[in-house]
Amino acid sequence: MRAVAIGVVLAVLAASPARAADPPLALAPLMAALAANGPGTVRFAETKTSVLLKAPAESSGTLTYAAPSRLEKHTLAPRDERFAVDGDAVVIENAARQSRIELRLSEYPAIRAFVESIRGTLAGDLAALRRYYRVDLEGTWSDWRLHLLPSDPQMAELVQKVLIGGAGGEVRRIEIFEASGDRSVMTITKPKDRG
Amino acid sequence: MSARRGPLLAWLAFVAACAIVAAHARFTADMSAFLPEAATPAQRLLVGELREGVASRLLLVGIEDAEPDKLAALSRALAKRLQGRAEFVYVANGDAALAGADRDFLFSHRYVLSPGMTPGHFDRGSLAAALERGYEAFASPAGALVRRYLPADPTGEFLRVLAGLEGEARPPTYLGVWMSGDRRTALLLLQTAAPGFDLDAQQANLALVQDAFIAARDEVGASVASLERSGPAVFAVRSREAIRGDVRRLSTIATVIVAGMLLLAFRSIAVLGLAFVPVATGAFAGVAAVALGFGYVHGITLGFGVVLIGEAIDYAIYFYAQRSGGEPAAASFARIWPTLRLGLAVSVASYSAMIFAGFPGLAQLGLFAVVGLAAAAAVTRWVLPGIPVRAAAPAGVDFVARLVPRWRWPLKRRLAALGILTALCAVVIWFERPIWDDDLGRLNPVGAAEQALDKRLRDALGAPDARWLVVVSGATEDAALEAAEAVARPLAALVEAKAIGGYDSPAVYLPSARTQAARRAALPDDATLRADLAAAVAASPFKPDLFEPFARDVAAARVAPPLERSRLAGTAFGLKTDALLVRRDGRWHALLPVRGVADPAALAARIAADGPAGAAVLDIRAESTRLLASYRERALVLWGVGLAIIVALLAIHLRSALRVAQVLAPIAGAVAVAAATLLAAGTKLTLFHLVALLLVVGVGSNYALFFEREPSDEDERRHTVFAVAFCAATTTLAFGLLAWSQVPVLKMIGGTAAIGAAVGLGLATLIARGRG
Repeated sequence: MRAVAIGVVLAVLAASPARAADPPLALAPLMAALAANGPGTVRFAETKTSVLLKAPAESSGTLTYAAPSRLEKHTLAPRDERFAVDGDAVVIENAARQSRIELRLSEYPAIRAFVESIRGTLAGDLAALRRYYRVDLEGTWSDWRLHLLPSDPQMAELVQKVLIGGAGGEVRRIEIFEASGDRSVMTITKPKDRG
Repeated sequence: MSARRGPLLAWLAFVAACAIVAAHARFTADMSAFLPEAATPAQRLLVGELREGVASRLLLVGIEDAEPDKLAALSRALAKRLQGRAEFVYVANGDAALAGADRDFLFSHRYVLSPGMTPGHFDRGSLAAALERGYEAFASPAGALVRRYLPADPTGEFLRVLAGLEGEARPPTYLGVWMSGDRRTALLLLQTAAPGFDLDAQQANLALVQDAFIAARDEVGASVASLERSGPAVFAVRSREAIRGDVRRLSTIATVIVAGMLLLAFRSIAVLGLAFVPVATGAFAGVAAVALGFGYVHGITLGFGVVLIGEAIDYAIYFYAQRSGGEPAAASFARIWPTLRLGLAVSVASYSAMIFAGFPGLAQLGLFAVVGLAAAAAVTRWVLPGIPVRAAAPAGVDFVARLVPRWRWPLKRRLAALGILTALCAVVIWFERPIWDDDLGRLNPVGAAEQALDKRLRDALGAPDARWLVVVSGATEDAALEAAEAVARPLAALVEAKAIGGYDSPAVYLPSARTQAARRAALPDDATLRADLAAAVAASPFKPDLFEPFARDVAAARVAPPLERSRLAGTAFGLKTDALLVRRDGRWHALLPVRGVADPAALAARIAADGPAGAAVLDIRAESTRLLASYRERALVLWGVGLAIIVALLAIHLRSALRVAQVLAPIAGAVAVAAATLLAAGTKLTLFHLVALLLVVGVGSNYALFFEREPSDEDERRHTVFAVAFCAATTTLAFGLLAWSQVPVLKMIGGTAAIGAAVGLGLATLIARGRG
């Protein structure tokens, strides 16, 4: 009995703070939770399936975000490639080929379509997201999915949908559905086990 | 026919004839007529470009005073309304939909445009390497960039062509349209069909843009947004408006004042009306002469010409002021005509210098003034005396005659004083060296605010004024393109060495036939390509058959007709090629603007050593300055000749060195004082100051000649003093008013002539005869 009682108390103790912190799933609190994350680096593994390719292309690396507008995707395997966005400036570097391309995000809707979705989500900036996408949210607080449908016709020509999944204030998965039928899935893990 | 009616009828017939010619004359407003005729081929090219080159047809448009999102919408709406109109050859606002034509052009001609098309570029090994690179690019974060083009262009020729253009400065975009970095100005670039010098067409174009903008504003719902326009044509149209407005306003005031003075002095409506008859006849004759001589009349010629022959009003004043009560007209003329005739001859000698000065505009002005003055003098001599008017002695003669100082010094001492004054002024002029302002921009009658706006829009559009040009030529368009390709090699080396930032060439968009053929020759036949491609694809991560569009495009490119200039029409590259590949004097010139010139000497040396024969490096700023300076030197020489003719005329007529000196001294003094005053006030002299100084010589010679004449009695002396003082007062007033103009050109001419006329009168009194 005693053990049961302690078990119940523990269970209540364990569950109730979580419940209390779990607001009903809505855009505003979710965005606030995402915005509270601050700068950080996560690991990603990406699988790109394309009608052009015999087999899916796999890659992995790190993803770094710093508010309000810096985003860096550093692919480490199979090739070292760095893709950095700061505001409107994009730099693409290939270490092996020693190539460096600089361009302006606003001139390349194909790139902007997914950059703004990831950057806007990591920033928790609903206004920025809504500038480029129709935003729909489904799921629960611990397993939500953000559907981003490009509203800009230029972007919509290239990207059908960006689907971002996460738990609480953490982004776990980014799926990009291109209009061409190509699709890429990026799963995100924390490099260290922090909360 | 009576002796009185004859001249009158002849005059009527002459005016009628002039009116008919004038009515059929073609009037233009081509401001570039005031650009010098160029001596060297490089200068001819420069002037030709300024006159009608593509740069003269560019219209820079800025939209401001609204939210960035609204600005973008306005930019789109405005571009949509202007596109497809016959008045505009090219409308660009950065919109991808508009840039689509450019993109399509580059893509469909990638195999003749790409510098990568060398022999062996499409063999099996190269294709395999290209597919590996293509896969890396596709799998990379930038994959979206290559995804669309990969199946048709696995070797990335299109991207290579694009990369060749990447170095160019392009304006930033916001929501897909060009917008300044601070997002306060949406930018558009228009090219008009009409050449820049066709000011009437350009004015209509500006109105069209304005109307389209207002409609776009209503459509978008941004009622406070404002429109800014700039460009050479805008400058020209605005300055014409400003000149017209000021001339109309100030000349109306001047006419009213002069008419009032005439009325006050002569108390006769008839005299008032008749005083304007010589000058009006002169204007008619001038227009007719210019129309016959040049085939067209410049609007500016008319405006300034009437100013220059304003001296003709003086003729009538000399005539009426010298008529003492009841004297027959013939007797009055017997007295003043020799003097008037000599004054006319001096003015004609002075103005005829302009006919040979080298600016078509100034040549017209010179012809207009010479013919106009001659006609006006003839009318004064032969027509006015035949028209009976109540010959009242002018009022205020005694008052004016008392007002004008009478010098007690001996003549020689007065001449010495004039000489000292002139010498002092010469010293001032000497110390103010350099006295010439050869900046072509200063001749541009556009205010600082408008120039600042132009600079702002240009900077925002990333289209700064090209200063350095490499020019190569050829007998044909294709030869010029080959020369451009040849000169690109040393230029590329200079870019590598960081001596220059970069360059542009028409051969980038339109390679020479030889280069096109060489690139096409690098395309393998269909069977070979398909076999090599299949092998390369099999070893790649790409699906088989993916590159079918590539094989198809290569096969099509092998048999495609050569890329010709007409295919570039309607793209940004057509606009560029129009600007950079031009025909002048029967030869074709390719212009390669060079930016970021860190080391001009290295540029010149390298082009001279490694460039094709005849390649020239042109510093546009220096060249245009040199052009103006050389023109001015020629003008000075011609005016020297004019001066020699004046001295000869006076010598023949006056037959005495002392008398010649007596006439010349106050004229020289007036010119020297006017020039020294301007320089001391910090104004550097321009061509327009020289024109005004010519006018000073013209009116000043009349003053001096009348004062130099020995009067028969005190009454005549007083009438002469009155007439000259009256003329000087009207001239000073009329030109003094022009000095209040906002238009720099009018200000220069007005101020200089007013000072010169007033000083000319004062100094002429020093040599007056008839000390009573």
